[in-house]
Amino acid sequence: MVAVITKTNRGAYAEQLRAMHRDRARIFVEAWRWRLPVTGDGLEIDQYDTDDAIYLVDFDADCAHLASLRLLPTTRPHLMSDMFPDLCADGPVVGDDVWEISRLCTSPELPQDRHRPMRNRLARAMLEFGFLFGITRFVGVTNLQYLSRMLAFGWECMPLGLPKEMDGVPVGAFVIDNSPASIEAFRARTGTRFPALQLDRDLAA
Amino acid sequence: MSFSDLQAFVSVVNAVESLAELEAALADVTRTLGFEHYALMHHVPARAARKPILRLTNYPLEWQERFTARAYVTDDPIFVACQTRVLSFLWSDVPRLIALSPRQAAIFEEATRYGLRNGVSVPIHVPGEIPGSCTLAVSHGAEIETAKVPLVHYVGCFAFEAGRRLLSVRPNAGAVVLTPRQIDCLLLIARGKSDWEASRILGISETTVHQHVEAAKARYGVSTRMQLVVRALFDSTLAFSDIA
Repeated sequence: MVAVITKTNRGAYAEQLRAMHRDRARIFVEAWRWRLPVTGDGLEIDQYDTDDAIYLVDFDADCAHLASLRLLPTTRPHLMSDMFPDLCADGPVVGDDVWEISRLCTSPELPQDRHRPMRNRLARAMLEFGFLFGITRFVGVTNLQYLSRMLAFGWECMPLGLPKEMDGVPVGAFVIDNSPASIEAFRARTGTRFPALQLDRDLAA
Repeated sequence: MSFSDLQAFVSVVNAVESLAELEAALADVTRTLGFEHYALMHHVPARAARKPILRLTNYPLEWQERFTARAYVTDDPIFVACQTRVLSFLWSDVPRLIALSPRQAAIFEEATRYGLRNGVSVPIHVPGEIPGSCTLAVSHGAEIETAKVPLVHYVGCFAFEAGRRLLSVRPNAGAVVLTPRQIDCLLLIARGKSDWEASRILGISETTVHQHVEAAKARYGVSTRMQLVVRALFDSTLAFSDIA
């Protein structure tokens, strides 16, 4: 199951969040060479890991990190408006029903053939979360070299503009539609109707 | 090609319901971008593939036949460059990207004689899956504008994803699903345990273990335990890491 972790229930998931931040350092900083701050104990945490952030985190019985992503409200500080507005042909898409995805990853510890099931479960959880929380669109920026694996999550994705080079890296902005029809299509594709999302009782402050 | 052309292409391929529709969209965008040939492929010989693979191309038939007959799939310079690259590249850059063997240099030279002189290739890497690529090619020798490369990258990634989606419909529909208990037994059998050992570990009778394994064999339609384990590994019911 994929847990929804907000500022309210964060305390109950301290171990899972540490494991996520550690994998983020291994993936984004060590493997992908992004210039991001890493704490002394090997955790990747940036200025957007605030109380506004909501994490969808998949973990196993030992709290080991399997897959995760970070969601930021576009009505608050987020990457697209702060750093990548030029990537959107018609300007950044913002609104209460638009949330930004970042730091999406599957654990490097996973055996080869487990990435796909984990990707599917995380993608399903994200669409379910959007449905429950009234999110109609997700936006995000990706390095073009990861475009094919990002699309492989199976969601309905559209480019928001032509790609650009930033710091020598080609990047592009995307929007993912979250209509009931897209959830239905996703269920049909993955062959299951069971929710992937695990909700705690007190998520709101 | 403008951004709205690209948006239109993506809308079409996101909604295609058959490989024929996908190929038609790919043929269209190939012309719009000023190319003549397209090839959307998994990098595996068609004969060796156990599942349906992507193979949409209008490369000259003579070249396709030669490619298959000579097993170029293993060392085609474009395919090899795709393995080492994550971003799209111009064919003219390939000699700088990989050290061409004499055979690979010859493949390149031969391709030009079949009207495949220059192109842009989009490597596709999805963790845990067979690698692939999307290539757009031309028969003329003029340099391709580098500004086209990111556009082709988008086209290739979205087209390939549409192909993945269309192919995955079939295997899932007929997929074999085992019960949790059948998987427990199968896992132990795959680890070399006897029925008796498995029965002790799981706390059930030896006969019950035997019945679970027989039922799992029946679901796969196989007659030996070896076949059962191989099939379960192949479709990811079991992972190699489960039994190693």
